[in-house]
Amino acid sequence: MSHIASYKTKIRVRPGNPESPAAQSDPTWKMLRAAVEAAAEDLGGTVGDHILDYYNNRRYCDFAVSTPEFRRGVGIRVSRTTGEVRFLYDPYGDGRGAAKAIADRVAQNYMTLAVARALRQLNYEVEVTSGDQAEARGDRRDTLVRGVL
Amino acid sequence: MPRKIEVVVTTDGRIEANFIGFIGEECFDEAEKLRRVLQAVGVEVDPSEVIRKGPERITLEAGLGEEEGHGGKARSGRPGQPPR
Repeated sequence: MSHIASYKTKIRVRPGNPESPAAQSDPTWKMLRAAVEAAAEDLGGTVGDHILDYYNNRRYCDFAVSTPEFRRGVGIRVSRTTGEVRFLYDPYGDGRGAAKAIADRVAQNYMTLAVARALRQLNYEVEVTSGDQAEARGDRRDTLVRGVL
Repeated sequence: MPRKIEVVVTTDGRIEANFIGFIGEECFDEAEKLRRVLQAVGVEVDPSEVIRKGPERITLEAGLGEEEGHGGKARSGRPGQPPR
């Protein structure tokens, strides 16, 4: 018997101060940073430490991604007690859903990195097909992580 | 046939895992191992749907595996998708 399973997911990195040496070397924080940086690069944006709300008030975050489509930015905040990763943005006036697209890209990047890492830990030989390749074929921008034992 | 796990990560961060070539209930043990390792790397998963494959699908995948072994690229449909 083999099966197919579909899962809802949540990102939860190591709780604590991101500036601490433990967090700096922690793989979950490293993957989160990599996921954020890749999302910013893919979407032609930049990584910072704060977002703006509709009234230009600053809100500081662990990371923030601003893109040409959503200059106010999407923040990534990690709960210091649980490690849960949350996205923060002011969607007012964002009719095209650019903010959600940034948040989704960060989450997809993190999941892809984490699944590849998990399969390697289980001794699978891993190959990742990026969402760009799916998009180029006209498919949804899903990524594929294939592990062979 | 080699054992494989193909994981599709959707644009909104959901994951769909296709377990291929596992015998008996082995795939459920492997799914549980994967869940534990994912948790250790910061991903909490909540299964929303599980589809057991029928014999036809398993036979088809076994056939594809043999073709791939000879350098072929046989594949029908998108990996990670439930059978239609």
